[in-house]
Amino acid sequence: MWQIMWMLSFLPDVFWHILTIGGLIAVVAALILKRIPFISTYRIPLQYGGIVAVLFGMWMEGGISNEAKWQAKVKEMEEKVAIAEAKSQVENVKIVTEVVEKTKVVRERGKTITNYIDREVVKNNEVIKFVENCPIPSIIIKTHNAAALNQAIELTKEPETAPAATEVKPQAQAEVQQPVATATVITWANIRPTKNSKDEKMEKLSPGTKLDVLKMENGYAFVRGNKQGWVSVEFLNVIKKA
Amino acid sequence: MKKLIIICLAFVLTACSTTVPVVAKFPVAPDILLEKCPPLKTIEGENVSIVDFTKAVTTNYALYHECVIKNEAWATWYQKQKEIFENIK
Repeated sequence: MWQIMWMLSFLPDVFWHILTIGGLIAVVAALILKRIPFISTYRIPLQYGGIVAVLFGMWMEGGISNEAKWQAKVKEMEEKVAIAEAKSQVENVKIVTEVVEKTKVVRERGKTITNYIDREVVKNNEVIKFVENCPIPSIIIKTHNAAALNQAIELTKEPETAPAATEVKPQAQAEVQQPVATATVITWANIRPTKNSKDEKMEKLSPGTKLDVLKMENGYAFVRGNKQGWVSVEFLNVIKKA
Repeated sequence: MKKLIIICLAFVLTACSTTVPVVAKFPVAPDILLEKCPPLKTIEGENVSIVDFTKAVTTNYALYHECVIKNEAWATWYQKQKEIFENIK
């Protein structure tokens, strides 16, 4: 059907005006011819042809009129859509600008605070004392990281990594019996059966723990507390005996 | 004859039934709003000091505030686009 309409759309509008008017004339002429003898026999095809022409012509007239209104409405809608798209773009630019500016401010403030920590906080005596004596317990770090990653956290106690029983090598135990110095643990440190830092931990020493130093070698102290083993000197405040 | 006239009128009126095939496209959101919020920073290693802890927390607060900005921008974008779309009638 649309193919027929598409072909008909190539005919000028005036054709349909002529067809409608011609059809009306034919219908009227058929009524007049009815009264004239001899010719009245030709009126029937003229009358029916006129009616068909009027109907089809009117149908097309309606279509043309509707088409004109439709095109006007399309144009109006296209204009509205174009205006709306332009407004949308303007709003997008405004929003992006605002986001970029606000983000910049937030980042700068964060950076300023981090710089303040590096510049001022680390020099604060109270903080220095705190840093030396109180490292953040691993459970706090674990909790923080779980919150940061939004992960489930186990509320059970962490299993001890060091063996429960004291396992001091007999050789080390026999070597030195009398302390040569005393030491205080400055920050959390591990006590191990050897000087190798990759060796298994026997115990974790908390800051402030007092120890007897039985021997010192290559930056490591062989200490005696609850257990005997090696600790890096960097975690200890060693006071040699007179 | 009356039936014929009604049929003819109905036929003539069929030429008027059309709809306007113009629709507004769904607006495209700015790329910056489509970016995902970055993951929060975690703290790694043993013997972490309170200073490093504070720095990590500061970084995470900044990341949160960046995300708040994007979230607010999304709400504004939606409101504005809705308003613009509803005006096309």
